[in-house]
Amino acid sequence: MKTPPYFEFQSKVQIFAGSNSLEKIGKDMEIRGVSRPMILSSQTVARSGLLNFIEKGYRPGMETGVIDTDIPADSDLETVRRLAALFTEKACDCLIAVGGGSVIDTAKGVNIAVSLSCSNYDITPYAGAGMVREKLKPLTVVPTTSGSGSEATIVAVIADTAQSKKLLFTSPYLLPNTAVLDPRVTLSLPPLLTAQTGMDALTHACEAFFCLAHNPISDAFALEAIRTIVRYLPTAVAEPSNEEARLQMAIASNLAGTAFSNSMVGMVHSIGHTVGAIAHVPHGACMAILLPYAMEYNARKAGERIGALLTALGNEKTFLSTPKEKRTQAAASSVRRLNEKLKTLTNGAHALCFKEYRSKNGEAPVTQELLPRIANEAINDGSIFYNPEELSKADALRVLEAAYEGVPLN
Amino acid sequence: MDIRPFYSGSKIISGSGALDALSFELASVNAEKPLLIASDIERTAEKTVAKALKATAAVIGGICRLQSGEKNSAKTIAETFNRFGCDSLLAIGDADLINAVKAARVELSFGKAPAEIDFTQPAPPRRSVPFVSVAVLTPEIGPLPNELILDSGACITSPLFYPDTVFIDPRVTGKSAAVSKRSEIAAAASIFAVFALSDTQAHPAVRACAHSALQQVCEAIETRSRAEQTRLIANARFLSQIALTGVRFVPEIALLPFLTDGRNPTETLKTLFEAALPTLSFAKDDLSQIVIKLVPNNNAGSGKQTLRSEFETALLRLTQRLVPNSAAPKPSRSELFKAFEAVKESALTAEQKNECLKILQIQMEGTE
Ligand SMILES: [Zn+2]
Repeated sequence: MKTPPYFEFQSKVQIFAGSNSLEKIGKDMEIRGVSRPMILSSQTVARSGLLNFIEKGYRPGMETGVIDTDIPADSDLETVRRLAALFTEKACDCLIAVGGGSVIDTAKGVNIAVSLSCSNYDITPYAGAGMVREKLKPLTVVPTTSGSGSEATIVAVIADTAQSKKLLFTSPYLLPNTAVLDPRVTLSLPPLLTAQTGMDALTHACEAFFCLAHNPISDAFALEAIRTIVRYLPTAVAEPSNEEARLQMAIASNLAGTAFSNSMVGMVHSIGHTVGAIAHVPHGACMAILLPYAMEYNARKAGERIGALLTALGNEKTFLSTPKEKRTQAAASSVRRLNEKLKTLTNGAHALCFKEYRSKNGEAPVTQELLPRIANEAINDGSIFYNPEELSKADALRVLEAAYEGVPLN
Repeated sequence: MDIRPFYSGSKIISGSGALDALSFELASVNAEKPLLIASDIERTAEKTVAKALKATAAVIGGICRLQSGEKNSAKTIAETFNRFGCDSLLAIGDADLINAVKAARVELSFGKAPAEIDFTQPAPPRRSVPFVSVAVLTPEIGPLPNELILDSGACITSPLFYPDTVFIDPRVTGKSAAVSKRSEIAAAASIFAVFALSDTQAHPAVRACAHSALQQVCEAIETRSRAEQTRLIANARFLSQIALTGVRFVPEIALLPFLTDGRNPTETLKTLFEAALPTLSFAKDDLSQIVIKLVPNNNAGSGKQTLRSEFETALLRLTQRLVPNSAAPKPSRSELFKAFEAVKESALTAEQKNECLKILQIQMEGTE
């Protein structure tokens, strides 16, 4: 496990994790010298009463400036503009995002609009890499799914619907100041979604570890995440109200998010993004199916690192007692066993291969006919850049066919 | 289910060529005229940094050289900063120098001395002053990145004290004034990491940093190139310090400033660590992970020894290898007694004092 000759790592997010973390936001705002947040969330979250816990932690003189729950599934410039005006009108001085990726990305966009000089709250001049070069207003993030890890990334994706394109903003200043991991937030996540988002987090950790941009710190974060996921994901799926398992999954997802935002992901994400875009299969479901195939596919170039994952997917004993040449396959098999366990726990709903996958209305959106098109587009996805092994269209198709049938590659 | 908060406020850029990213990093925070603050004894490092800046056509706003132990250095830094119209701080030096730069940064951003600010609820700063540091190998034990030692000797903590970016470049670490003390520094980093692991309420990110620190030490031991070895040790030091910022009060470390009267702090740390090790608790996962790191071909936990004793043996062997028992005697009874009195009078809380005094008592019993 040699340290690469050059690496960078950062995780400048204050993390509060534990059973009463939502109540700690008030204290954190006090330290940051702010008192009037704009809270962005979803209607479901607002109805659940979770936001009350945040307000319960307010210090004297603190007050919610405004709560807005009207945020589209894909954050867009129009929403950012509307919310930025509202932020100013209500004299807010910080942001709290309680939700998934789109709520968090919208909050990042609003933060650019209200913190930097943007005429008419137009943030497009700040799109691109490293264009945001100043501290923004304090942003606290409470992720409501344990998977995406968006609370740990320096990225925001905001759609410019007028131009039908997606704008990518990356800057270290887009990292939230605070991430709050409270088990109460994910208690209502249904078992299937818990399994899928959990496998997304596992994929972030595994790819961060075996893809090309790994470094010794993100490695340690990734291994810690994998150990926790293997141990707690089945419990979180089997007992949705188990707070300990929920908390551990939130923590693991955050660790995995930190690992991959420093080390990038690879072909599981390239192919997974494309299956998602073409066949509308949820991201986590794609990750769960594809991960073991990517481990097999990358065996030639990254076998030793994939094999080393066994220490976390199993333990040190499993690692040492497995002959070197069998470790990669053993690591892929552990992921398959975890998927099988999740399938049993979700009464068969968690799919092991694309053939098996069913959408909510019982349809099978991934057909064999679609696979060549998916393979064709997958090789152009940005994440492929950090995959250890080259991936041609024919290779991607071979992987997809195996993942469709549920037959290991080797 | 109470888990301690975790925060790591510095970006780390480590590697050969790390310094080549210096001007880019400064530009990314809108900084164009850094004040270069350097220890008088780190002239080689200073030259390397200046050369790297020049190579990328970056400007140095001004230079401020400080002698070790210089009084009022924070004031000197702030004044030089203003005189040259600088916009950021670039520090190269030992713990004292970094501490002075932290204090100067507070003064420049808040317009007040650190002692006049309540860091539990500070008003927003008047301006932001980017602060980056270039790591040199330095044998002092403290303060941690989130700590600032005031002139009164009191230690305050705040996320505002972290450098924004820490550059670890073998061209600098390999030429540090304290390069001959690298084994000692590696030992202290390992001990810090193990203490961090012994806090079972710490956030798992602390464990990740601690394991990574130990991994870097193990690699450093196997590395032939001196420059690369020092880079790995500097990585380990950085990571072990970040780990320690997220854990409980560690009395063995808090005691060091009271026991360094003319003796090597790392040796004292080692003595206190060896005494503490059997009493510390660890997660089972951590035991096997460490054993496998330190004794790679050992089938962890399956030998004649129990996993716990294998773990302790491996750790003691590591610290012994890095800091061989020297002729320096362990703290004497009178020295311990002096420390005992000093702890009682110190700014520590009552609970912290008790923890420290207990350890001193055990050490005193051992001297009879
Ligand atoms: Zn993902």
